[in-house]
Amino acid sequence: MEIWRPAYIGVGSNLADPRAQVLTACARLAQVPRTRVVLSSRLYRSRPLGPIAQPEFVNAVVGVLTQLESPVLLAALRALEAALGRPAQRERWGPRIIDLDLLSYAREQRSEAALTLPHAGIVERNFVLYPLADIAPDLDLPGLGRVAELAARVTSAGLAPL
Amino acid sequence: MTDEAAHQFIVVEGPIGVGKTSLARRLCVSLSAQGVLEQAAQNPFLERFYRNPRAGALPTQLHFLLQRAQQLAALKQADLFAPVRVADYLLEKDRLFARVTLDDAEYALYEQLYARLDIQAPRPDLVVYLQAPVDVLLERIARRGVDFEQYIERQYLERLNEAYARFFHAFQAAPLLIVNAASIDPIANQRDYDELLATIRRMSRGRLYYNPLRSRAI
Repeated sequence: MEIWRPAYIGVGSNLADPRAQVLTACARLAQVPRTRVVLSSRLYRSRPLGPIAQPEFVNAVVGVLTQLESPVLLAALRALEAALGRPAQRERWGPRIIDLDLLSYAREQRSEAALTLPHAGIVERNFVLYPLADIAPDLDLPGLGRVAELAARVTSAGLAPL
Repeated sequence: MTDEAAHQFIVVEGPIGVGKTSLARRLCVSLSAQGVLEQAAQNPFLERFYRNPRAGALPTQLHFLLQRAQQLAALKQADLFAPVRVADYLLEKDRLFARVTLDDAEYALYEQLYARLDIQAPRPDLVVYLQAPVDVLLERIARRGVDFEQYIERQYLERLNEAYARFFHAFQAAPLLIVNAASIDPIANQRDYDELLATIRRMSRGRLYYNPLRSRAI
């Protein structure tokens, strides 16, 4: 209870002024109970993944300290997405007004339907690894490796700081 | 092989207002470390103490002592993930404050309780001591704007600063990094933070004064 755990949250949007959506989401993260935003990366512009033609994304990563357990923090992120206007149905590659991913939580490793830690998509996503390297280059992601090294293995193609 | 020390437990210490909690939080996120942080805001006696130090000291000290005992007991529970930890206080700080704020009879009572509690604190493998003159502390306390802290008196900070200086002069329980926190701002200034973090990561033994000489507009 009295112990604070580090967690890293990916924030992304490509609808309705994505930059403003990301900044709003970052501000609202500061209101999650028993959670404190400590570090925020730069904002990045990125080309969308997948088969659907859609606008560019804006991405960032936020480092928090939290007293919530990981499933509770995840539920808070889902609730925040809903509050910011995201529909409950999640289309895999589709455009989204706001996307909050729990990337890593303390040293936890989980592979459950509801929650995989560290987040399964991290290693191939430059729009996660580059901003994460802004705030925690030396972070050792359990089972994956050091963030700076993971980031060096993906190209920055399609990605640029805003 | 790297030249970096793999710290398991780092403690950031220093007087009120010097910036230890902010630095400890940043270190937690940079190092993916658990934070063991003071809960001063949850001490219901603290405001009374700042308004009236003589009358408020004993309950304030007892509350902090019991709070720390509870927090450090929670730490002892087995943790599967063998986490790295960063704390913003040393247990010894509790006594240091008690010595400054309590009169002799109160301190004797405090000591009895302290001995009874038999608190087991994990031993840090690095202590970062943030140092700054009282003027800087007062300025930072004013800037962070916590209402009840505005009652803190200069004289109290002077005594605390002196007590800390004496304590760390004799300190030998862990490697010690003494940071001139008046000349750098590792919270607002990213470069200051990066350089301090690199120093922390490299430091593995002994005692080091970290005092980057940098001209800075005030």
